[in-house]
Amino acid sequence: MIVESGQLALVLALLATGYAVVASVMGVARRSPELVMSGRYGFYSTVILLLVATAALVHAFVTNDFSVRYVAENSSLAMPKAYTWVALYAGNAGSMLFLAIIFSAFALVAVGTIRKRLPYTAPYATAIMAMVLLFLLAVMVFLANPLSRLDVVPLDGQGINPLLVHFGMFIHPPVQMTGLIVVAIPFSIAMGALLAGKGGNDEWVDLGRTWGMIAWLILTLGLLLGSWWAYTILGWGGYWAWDPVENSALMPWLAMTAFVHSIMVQKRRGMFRMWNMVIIIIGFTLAQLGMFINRGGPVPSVHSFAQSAMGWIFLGFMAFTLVASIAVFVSKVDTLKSRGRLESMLSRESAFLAQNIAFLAVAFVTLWGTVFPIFSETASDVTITVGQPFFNLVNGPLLLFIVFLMGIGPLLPWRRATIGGLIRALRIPLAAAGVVGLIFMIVGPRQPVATVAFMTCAMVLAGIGHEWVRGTQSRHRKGENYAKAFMMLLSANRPRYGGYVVHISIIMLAAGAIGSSFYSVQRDLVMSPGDTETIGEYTFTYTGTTHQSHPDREEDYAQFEVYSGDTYLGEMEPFRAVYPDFRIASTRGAIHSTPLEDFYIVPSDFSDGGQAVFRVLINPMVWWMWASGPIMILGTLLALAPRREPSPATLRVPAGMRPAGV
Amino acid sequence: MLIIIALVLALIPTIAILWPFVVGVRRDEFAEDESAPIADLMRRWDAAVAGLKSSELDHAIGNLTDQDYRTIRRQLMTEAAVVLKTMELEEAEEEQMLTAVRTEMQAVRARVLGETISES
Repeated sequence: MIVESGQLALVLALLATGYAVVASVMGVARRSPELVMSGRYGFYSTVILLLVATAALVHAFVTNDFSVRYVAENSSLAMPKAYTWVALYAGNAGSMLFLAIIFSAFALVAVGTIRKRLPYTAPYATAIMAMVLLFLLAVMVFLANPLSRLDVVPLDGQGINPLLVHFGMFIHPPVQMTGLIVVAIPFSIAMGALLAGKGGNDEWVDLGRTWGMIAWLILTLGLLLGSWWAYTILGWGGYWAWDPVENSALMPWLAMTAFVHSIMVQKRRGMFRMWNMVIIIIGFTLAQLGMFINRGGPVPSVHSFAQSAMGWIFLGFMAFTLVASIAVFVSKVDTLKSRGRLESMLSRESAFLAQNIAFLAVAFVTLWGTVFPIFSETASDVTITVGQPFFNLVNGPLLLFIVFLMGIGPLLPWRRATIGGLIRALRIPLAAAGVVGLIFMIVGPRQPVATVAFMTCAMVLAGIGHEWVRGTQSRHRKGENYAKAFMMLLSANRPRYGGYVVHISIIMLAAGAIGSSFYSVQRDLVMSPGDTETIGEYTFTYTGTTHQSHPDREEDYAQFEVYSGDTYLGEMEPFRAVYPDFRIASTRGAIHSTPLEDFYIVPSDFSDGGQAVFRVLINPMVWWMWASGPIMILGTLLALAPRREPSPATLRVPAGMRPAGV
Repeated sequence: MLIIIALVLALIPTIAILWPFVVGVRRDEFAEDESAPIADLMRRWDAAVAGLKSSELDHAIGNLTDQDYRTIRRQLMTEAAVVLKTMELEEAEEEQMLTAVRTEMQAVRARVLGETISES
């Protein structure tokens, strides 16, 4: 009965969402406040209905109700109850329900804020969000119902994919899915404004920026958590392998990063109005592409746990929204003329434009590399997969250029700068880059590309640090002590300095990626109990293996005594589990992590007599990548913190500055 | 039991959808227009003030030369002053319209009710 209640709740949510689309559009067309409000309340009610459906599915998992197909396919009696949360979105149908409930909750908050500040845009934005939810609900009700019953009830379920039985599964997939679907909110606000004929005077920009940054932050965290998860299971190729599913999450992130920068130009200068619409359309399209590839798309990936034809339905919806968005954009393009103009090629606006183009270039290269296997198969019946070397070769320089712009852009004022001013502002950052280059030339391993990359990172950090110092000194000269001056500097310019904090976190991320890409040491070793090996500073002794049998898996734990020089680091215990029913082996590396480097052991194979094959790595600076996450959150929150500018009544314009007639 | 649950569930969207028609709306959804001239002026005002703030900061920390700072400041102050002047005009126009409405109402009252009440 609980399951049937959930099924009914899904159908009712579908009907309420459909009503929300129609009522919102008709309400604004007829200028009927009652109809608009009715559509909005109908949309709100879907949150409660989807909560009921989700509760029904959770109850089915907890009570091992294998009459529900999705429960039978994604859990078993042996599955720990804690993994009910993971099983909820481990398969296609469940992940659709997860997407729907998360999106409806975010949309509820979004509509609540939009309706107050953008009353004419809000009904259209609500209708677009409702259409996205309607699509998810229609797929669930008609094609992939997570609460559908089986005719014959099995005694036990098939169990969850063993690769998903990992702590990372609790947070990475939900955060990643949330990030992808939340991109629909800034898209809806932008398109809603266009449809309402309110896009021409930057009405939607503040809320579009806020929700764009929220989506960007969630996408960033999803990518970071995914990288961390992959890193602990080294068989996946470290933290990043340019796998199609990884790429599909990266592409919308790239577009949204471009968007959160260029929207600032529209907010400050009334420029890039068309450009921002184009970027948000690209961002939402790429987010949908991500959901398509993740749901059994045609591109082979180690992530594609759920193979199905559902991906093609997502592709169809993506095509529909893309065509519809372009049609709306073209029909309203005349209203999107810029208020300001680019006064100089040497200005912050120009830097943002160059950075935007670079981000979209990386997104395009990544897209091309990701979908190339499809084209190659269509053209020649041979699937040619594009691997890491292609992405590293093409995207590497582009990403380095973006980091370089990150160092230049903040030093450029809005509107215009002079070459002399820029050179003056660049003296300290360039000196810092030079010092780093010199250090690498003298003591570091000779890796010219890595040296240039680290020099660029040093330039960015020194630029930010130098600006903070100069800003603090400036306030200090007006009588504030240094601590207060620094805090007031940050507080009074939150978007700017929040952005700088995010830039620092990006540099931490980049440093980790550069260090581990260029200076990683890797060895494959065959070791017997009692063997001792040395790599770099590390000496490690393989003391033996412990075997554990579980109902669903066989586990082998290897024990190591590890020293760094003369310092005992402790015992490390990587393991390998084999799941006979799934014919899958899963490994977990043991990592000793410090800010300088990670010492990493992962087992490849165990044989009789305790002999085993291990991959041992020293990965420099990876710690900084994981440490960048909290700083990124802090910076984004700082940038998002609201601060109202003084109203015109509080400012007196000096008489001499008034234009004629004022 | 299932029927009762179904009815309760169906009531959730039904009540939500019908609520505005039954209870009515307290506030006109379209009372304020985000594209109203005053809203646009406020956005332009915010942009000008933000521009002034950042140019002050850029000048103070040496990113902006004195000459560029003076030029940009003049542009932004002019923009702010234009916004202020336009707002004053908006208020004046609003006052004119209100006066016209009051006069019209007095005329209607006088015509329909025979009253000659002054709006003071």
